[in-house]
Amino acid sequence: MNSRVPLLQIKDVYKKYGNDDKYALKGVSLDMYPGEIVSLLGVNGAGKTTLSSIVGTLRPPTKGDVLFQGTSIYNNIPEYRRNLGFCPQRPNLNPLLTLRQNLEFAGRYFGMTEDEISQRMHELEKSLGIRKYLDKNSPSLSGGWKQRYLIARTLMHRPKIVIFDEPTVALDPDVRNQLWNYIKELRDQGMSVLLTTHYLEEAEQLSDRVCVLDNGVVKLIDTPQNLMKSFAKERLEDVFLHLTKQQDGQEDE
Amino acid sequence: MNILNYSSIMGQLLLTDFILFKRVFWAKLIDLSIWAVTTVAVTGYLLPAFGIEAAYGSFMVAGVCASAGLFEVFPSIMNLVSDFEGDRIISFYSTLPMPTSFVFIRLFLNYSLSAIPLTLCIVPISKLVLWDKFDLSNMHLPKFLVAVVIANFLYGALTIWTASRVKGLETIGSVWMRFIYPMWFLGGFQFSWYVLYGFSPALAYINLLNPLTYVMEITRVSLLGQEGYMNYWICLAALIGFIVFFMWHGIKRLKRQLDFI
Repeated sequence: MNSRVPLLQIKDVYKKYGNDDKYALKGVSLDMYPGEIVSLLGVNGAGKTTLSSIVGTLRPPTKGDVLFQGTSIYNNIPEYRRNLGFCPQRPNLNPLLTLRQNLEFAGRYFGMTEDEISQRMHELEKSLGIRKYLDKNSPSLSGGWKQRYLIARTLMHRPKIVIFDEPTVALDPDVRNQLWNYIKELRDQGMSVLLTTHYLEEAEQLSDRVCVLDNGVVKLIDTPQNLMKSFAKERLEDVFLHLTKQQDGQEDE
Repeated sequence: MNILNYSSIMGQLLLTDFILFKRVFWAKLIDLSIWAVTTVAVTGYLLPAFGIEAAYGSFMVAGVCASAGLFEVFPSIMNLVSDFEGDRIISFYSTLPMPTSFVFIRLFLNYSLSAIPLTLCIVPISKLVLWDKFDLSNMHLPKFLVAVVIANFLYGALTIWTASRVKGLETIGSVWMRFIYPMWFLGGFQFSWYVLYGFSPALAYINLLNPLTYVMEITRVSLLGQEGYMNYWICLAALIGFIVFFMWHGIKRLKRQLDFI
């Protein structure tokens, strides 16, 4: 039982797309606490990206609510967005602006002063090593570099909640490790991180808790250690495989 | 307080657009000038040799002014739909601390405002081409400026609305040929509404449903004088109505299509 006050509460969220009868999310509930990394795990189509896009205010839920510091985000979405950083899976930096302009304007959109922007740029340059290509445009960069700048843009305004949707897909192992360390630093700075990932090793390394989604339903939420202990497995990957096999077995029956 | 915050974000977004527009301004102006000079020169010098009234060149200057922004509509729709189906840069803007509708209002303002300086260049360029054949004595400058602004606001709104009707990139090619071109050509680019009325009142009344009719007429009134054209204030009111409708309906549809909040 966590005695802290949740920063974010996802309450019984359902999501249906258009006229589709099928629900992508079916009554998902999840609390997130300050300075916590929660990973969303699940096979393709489990509802991870749908859930992160709802928390990221990209999409509305069909039913249910999301509370930030005890108040529904839908009462004042702009105010909630001030506290939110959303890093999508696909780098969507403005290709016509330099990366420096992308970052500077991101700060300005969130009402930062020029001094604050300059200070934050220095911090991000240092921690993410992004100085090298600041005056280039994003199309000339590799996927790994684009991802770094995308993360920098997400963090410019010092959000309280950061959503990373598959942040390390297609990255080299060394870049991935650097990003993992950086995400841990964010937690240490008090940011809450919602991470969707396919990489179980990533979830095991980074997460305070993992939330396993299956077919739009929360199957399990616990710390990686507890999950490994309760399933008597040495790696989170084995727990996940065990769960998916169990699910396949149920579907076969 | 919120309004101040949103205005500040909108200001920064438009500043971003302005930086990008500055880079392409001269290229766009050259493109537009080639079209304007060709059209005005042919209609001002060549067609009168075929028996068309000598003042037809100045009449066409107004049509060219009224149409300048329209040529930005199709590429803007293309860019917008490509983004919806591609990197979705729009998703970043939809997570900024402002209501999601402002994302589309920003696009509308960007499309509208960037076409205004291009349109304003048409008059001096045309004057240089036609010189004494283009009489500016009937031009009402304040009315002309309002006409240019409102015309380009209509094109901005039309871009948003049309983008909301396009199913995808594979069908976008039809937008120009099936929708924009007939609307433009039948909207009085080469003739006034009263001329159409004299030819066929029924067609003229149907054409009142075409927003470009009012764009052409309001520009002509402000540039060439009221005589022979629809009332300036009626055109202005109609255009405001079209802009409000296109924006309201376009934003509603785009939000549903993109599943935005």
